[in-house]
Amino acid sequence: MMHQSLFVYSGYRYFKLCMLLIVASVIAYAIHEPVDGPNGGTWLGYTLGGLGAFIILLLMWFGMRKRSYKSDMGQVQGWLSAHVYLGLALIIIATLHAGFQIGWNIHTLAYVLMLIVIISGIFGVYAYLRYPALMTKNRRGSTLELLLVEMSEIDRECREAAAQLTDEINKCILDCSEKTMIGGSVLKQLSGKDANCATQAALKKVGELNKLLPKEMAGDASRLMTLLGKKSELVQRARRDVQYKAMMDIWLYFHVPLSFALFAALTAHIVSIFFYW
Amino acid sequence: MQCKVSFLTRKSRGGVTHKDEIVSGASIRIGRSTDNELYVSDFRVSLHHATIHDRQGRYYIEAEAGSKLRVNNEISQSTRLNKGDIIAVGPYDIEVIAAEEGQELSITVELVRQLGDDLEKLKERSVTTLAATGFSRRRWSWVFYTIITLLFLALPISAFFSDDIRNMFEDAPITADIAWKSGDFESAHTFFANDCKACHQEAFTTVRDTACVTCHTETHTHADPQFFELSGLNETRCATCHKEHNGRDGLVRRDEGLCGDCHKDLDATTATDLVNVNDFGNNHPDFKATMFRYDAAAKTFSTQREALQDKPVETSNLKFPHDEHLTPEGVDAPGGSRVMVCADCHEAEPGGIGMKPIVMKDHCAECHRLEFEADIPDRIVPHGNLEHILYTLTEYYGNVALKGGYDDIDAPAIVRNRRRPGQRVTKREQRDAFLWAKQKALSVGEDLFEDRVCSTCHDVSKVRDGDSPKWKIAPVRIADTWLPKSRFVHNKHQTMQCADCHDKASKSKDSGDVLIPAIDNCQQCHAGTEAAHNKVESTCVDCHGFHIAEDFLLGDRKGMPARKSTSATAERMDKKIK
Repeated sequence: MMHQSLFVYSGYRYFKLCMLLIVASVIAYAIHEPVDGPNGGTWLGYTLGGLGAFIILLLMWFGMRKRSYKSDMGQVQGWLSAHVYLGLALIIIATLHAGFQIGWNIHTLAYVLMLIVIISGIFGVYAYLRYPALMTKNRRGSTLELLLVEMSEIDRECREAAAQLTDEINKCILDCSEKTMIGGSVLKQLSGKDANCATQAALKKVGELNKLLPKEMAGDASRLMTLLGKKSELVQRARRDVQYKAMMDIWLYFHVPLSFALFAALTAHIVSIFFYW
Repeated sequence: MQCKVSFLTRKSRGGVTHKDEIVSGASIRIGRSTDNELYVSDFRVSLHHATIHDRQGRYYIEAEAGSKLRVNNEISQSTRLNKGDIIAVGPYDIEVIAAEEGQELSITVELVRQLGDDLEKLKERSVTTLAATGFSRRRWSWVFYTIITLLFLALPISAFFSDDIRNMFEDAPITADIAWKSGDFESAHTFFANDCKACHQEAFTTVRDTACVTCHTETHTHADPQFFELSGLNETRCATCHKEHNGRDGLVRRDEGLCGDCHKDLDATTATDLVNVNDFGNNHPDFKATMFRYDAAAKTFSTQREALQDKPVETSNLKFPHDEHLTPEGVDAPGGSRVMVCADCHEAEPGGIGMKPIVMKDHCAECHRLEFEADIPDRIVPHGNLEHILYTLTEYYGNVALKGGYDDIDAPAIVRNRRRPGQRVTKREQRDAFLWAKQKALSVGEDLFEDRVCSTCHDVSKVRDGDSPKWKIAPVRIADTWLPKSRFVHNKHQTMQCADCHDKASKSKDSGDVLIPAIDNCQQCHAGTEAAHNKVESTCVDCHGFHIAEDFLLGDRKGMPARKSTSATAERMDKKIK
């Protein structure tokens, strides 16, 4: 079977379904003239609210479905396609359900959480469309593991090359090998940079120290510089790889916990509505 | 000096191999550089790390500048070598052993601190996934879920059932269930707005009317529930029309269906003479004027409603031709001709809803003077009671008669002749004067009542009462509201001219004409909620009230507690009000 984008899955099946939902909701909202203005408490409000709550449960169930490999309840790709389109439709349906009323209450909290979850999901779709290609390009057929292996190879070669050079240079090389790290904190991973990169520091320092070396050591020095330059390039690629991966993951750290926050807020919202009917 | 160096290599299975080497020189230098006598190829060793010197058969090891030695685990720059000493040079341990024969010094060199695996170390240092940073989606999911459930679900519910928990928030600016508030309150309700239980008395139950009637006992119901046995009416809750939580002035339902749901086909559902209605623009009966109707025989007024299109005639018992007063030529007034306008008599009352009542003294008396003697225009009879008028006249003419000198050839001499000061009046003369005065008062009165003054406006009839005549003025009732079942606010129509609606006034010759406009006049500007393009959208409750059943109060409705109820809510409300 040819690869199908989640957008076009099964001939835009879920796109069409969601457009239908949106158009129907908008038309109903436009026609409906409740006595006390559009709000969640009219028959249309309850209908849209029920629909929205059902969609939210369906969207959250996607997390279960994609983990149960044995399930024969539709393809995961179909679920994902529906997940994305229904999530987008939810913005319209929930907004019409609320009748554009907002306030400092659990009802608006649920709405805002829902929006954040959807927006993080939109970023997720963007990330899944954008970063895999960049990642492949950046790795050049390699993997992060291989990049790390290459780096430690270069560390060894550097030591050999520096063996007959000054102690200061060897100190730099040792730092470069022992202190260079890939990734790190969340922000470091996301930025793809390390302000205190040991490799960069070594490259700079060794470049300066090399100038002070006698001519007969020029061969070793220039070999060392080539090695360090190569390592620096590898380090940057590895960091970018980590960065792309982090970008592809970070939104889930909002999407998932906040969707459980939404689930709690939605429960409180629904209970409160009927509790104080 | 000469030294035997054994390079030891330990095997993984145990056992040691050694590679021996004899080095010699003036001194033995140890370092990474190949020009050292003892050359070790590890980058952790300096180019020139240390040197062993022979000083008269004693051997010393000295660190070179910038390098460090550790002799038997103590840092040292220079130390004498003894058998068994272990000197750490970078990753190597150099041990002094017993010198073999022919050798001055024997040492072993062993790489004891392996560099380790660069790759493993690099991997250990690097954190390449977000999951590895310690952030857990699962943990945060639980945290958020728990916090929101506790704060916004468990707390409000427990506050509903537990007074203790609710009271914990009594002095706080927020309440335990504040997060559940779905919108702002109608302004009159804000003083108990933080007490959700004031209205939401039971969980999972819609707000009952009993909650509303805790305060609104004096509000009228819509209609007699016995006569109008309509489920749509009698089972309707207050909250069906009054939607709370819709902002400060959003409490009253204003749509056409509020009334139209029942009134559009009321005749089909109940025995009533009320006409069906559901839209002011499309389906509203013609206005019916409520008028006073005088029954001359019974001498009483009754009210009567008649459709304006049937040109009803009102009997107010007052003669008033609007046309003569509004003539463009003007009316005769003191000081000359005056052109009158509506506002000369019709003045809006404070609040601007209706007009102040027309009063003789304020609106008529300036022109319609009640004078009885042409020669003395300042003297007038009082307006109102006819007997008072006759008294006034009798007193006046009695005084004239006794003073004398009155120019009337029919009068007795005592009245005609001017009296000298000190001249006494006989009893007979007194009687003549009094009789004349009484007679005169009656004749002047008759003239006033029947011909000259009163009859201009009033319906005057003469009746015999024994010997003396008496006059009666038909009682006057001027309606001030012809459409009492609706509200019309004059002030809101100030941009209009009076004649825009009351156009027939200037041509009306008779006070029996009802001069209020018919419905088509209103419909020029006002439409109902249907097809209200370019017109003022006017709902039923813009003109009509709902709570209009005069004899029925909400507080009397079956099952409704009275205001002084001992219910918990009432107690709380009382406490709040205090």
